[in-house]
This record gives sequence, C-alpha cells and structure tokens, in this order.
Amino acid sequence: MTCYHTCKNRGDRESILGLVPFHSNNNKAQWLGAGYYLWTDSDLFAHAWGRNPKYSSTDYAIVKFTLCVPQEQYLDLVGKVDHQQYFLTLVEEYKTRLQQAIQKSTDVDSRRRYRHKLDCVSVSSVINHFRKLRTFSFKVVKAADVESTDTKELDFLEKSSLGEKLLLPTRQQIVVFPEAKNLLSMPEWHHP
Amino acid sequence: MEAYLKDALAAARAALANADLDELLQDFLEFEEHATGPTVEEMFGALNTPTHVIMGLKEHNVEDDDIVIVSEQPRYLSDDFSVAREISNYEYTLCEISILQQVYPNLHNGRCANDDRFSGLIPSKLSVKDAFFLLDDDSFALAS
Repeated sequence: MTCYHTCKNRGDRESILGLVPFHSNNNKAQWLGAGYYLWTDSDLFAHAWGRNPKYSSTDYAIVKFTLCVPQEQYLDLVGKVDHQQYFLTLVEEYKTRLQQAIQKSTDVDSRRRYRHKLDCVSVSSVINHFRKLRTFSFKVVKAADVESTDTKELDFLEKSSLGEKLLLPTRQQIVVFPEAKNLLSMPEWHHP
Repeated sequence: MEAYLKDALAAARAALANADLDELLQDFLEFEEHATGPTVEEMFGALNTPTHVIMGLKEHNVEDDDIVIVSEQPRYLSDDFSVAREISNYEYTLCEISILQQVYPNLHNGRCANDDRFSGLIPSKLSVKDAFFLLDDDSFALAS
C-alpha cells in the first residue's frame, strides 16, 4: 500500500528523510489512537493537509512510504465489509459490558449521563480502550472521514426528504501503531 | 467472517468478561473525556448508506440485467413553486441512461456496488422523458 506523510519542510531533505514518519502529538488525543498517520493511495489529502494553516504551514514536505502489513494485523474500516462488521460487533460487545458497569451505579443522574456518553461512543475511545486491554490485535487501521474542503458533496435528488449525498473523494487515512513502525518502507521524497 | 477476525472478537470478549467493571467504566469515561474524531455512529452512518439510496434509486432491480429505476422526487414547474409535479418512476436501459448523460453533462451518475447498473438524477424542471425529444438520431447512434 502506498502512503504519504506530510510534515513541515524544515531542514534539508536528508535530515527530514531521517526523521520521518513523525509520531502524532502525544499531548493530544488522535482519532485512531496514538501512532504514525499517513494518507493512503493518493497524495491529494497529503497536500491538503500541508496547505492547511491550522495543521501545518505553506512550506510543507510530503514523503512517500510503502506499507506491507500482514492481513491479520490490518483493520480496513473503509474497504472491507467484514472488517466493518467486526468493528461494529466489537463496539456492541463493549457497550453491553459497559451497560453492566453503568447499571451498578446507584446514582440515577450518573447512570443517565454515562448512558448518553455510551450512546455517542467515539471511534477513538473504542480503539484506545481495547489497546489498553491488550486485545486489539491490529497494528494498522484504515478509516475515512468526510470533513474536508477537498471532499465534494454531491446531491443526487433535489428536494429529497432523505437528503442523500455522495461524498467524494473520501479522506482516507491510516494509523500505524508505534510497535509496527517497521512495517513502513524506507521513505522516498515526494514533495516539493 | 474471517477466522482471524473471529479470534480477535473472542479475545476481546474474554478481556471484557475478565475486566473489573468499575475500572472499565472509569477508563471509558477517561477516554471519552479526551476523545476526538467521529462517534462510531457518525463514521458508519457516513460510510454505510445503502448504495441504491445514495444513487437516487428507489429500489434495486435485481430481476432485469440492464434496467434501472430512477425515482423522481416531487418537483415544481414554476419558479414560485406553485405547481407541484407528481412523483414518477421511470425505467431506463443502460443505453438510455448513456443518452441522458450526453444531454445532461452534470448528471450525477455512478454504478451500483457489485453490478453494472447505472443510476442517476434527472435535473429538475424538465421531464425525464422530455430529454429524449432533445436528442437527434446521432445521439442514439453514439449510445448504442
């Protein structure tokens, strides 16, 4: 799998190639957990990330990697229905067990608050928690979101009461967990 | 489900069953306190809209190899939205859809997952069937 990693273009090319990939910010939670984040397949979103002043600067570099990951260590939440089913089942198991924990609470308000949180459980919490329990066997997770200025929202039905949209291209990302950094090939300079 | 996924689920179940409930809840609250990104529901909601719904199809015709059903939603003939049109469903062959795509360059289109059926939205204020009157014979020839 071809992947792209965006970083600030500081220092010479050789020194950057010697440092990449950069680990995600340890002081801030990441949506797929702490690790190395890369854009997959295309450099489109690697450039978009680099151009976004909120995250980077106008002077950015993109480095290309090849990722070789064994099947059983790769969770693809974008392209594999089987993997999506696995993850949703995992979430249901998680929520069921947490419901039992919440039920133990004697305070009604707390129970209500906890249940609300559980209804809105985040992807990051599920991954982080199972990694803490040491039962998340995957070393690479691929996922997609749609919050991007490069993603176009296409209406298919005018005045549709259902408001269907097709969102393309989806912003697909992988996280490589720290213990699996060696699955990434030697970096190749890509931009500028 | 593949065996390695089943194994992963079994391991997760065992870990949950063995976990101390109070600790599990406290860890969950802690993770949620600092959580970022989408909820599970949001992420899968964005990903898992049925393909035929995304494509604007009222239903997915599985009996006929090259027929699609395009569902037109209620539309209005006049700019003041005073005259409502009835909802109509039209069936098109792939050839006809191809012709429509020539008439309407901005026609959103796509292929349904796992088969070759097209779907599309016909722009408002002009009947789907009207589109065929705008075509000359060459257009039909191109599409066939």
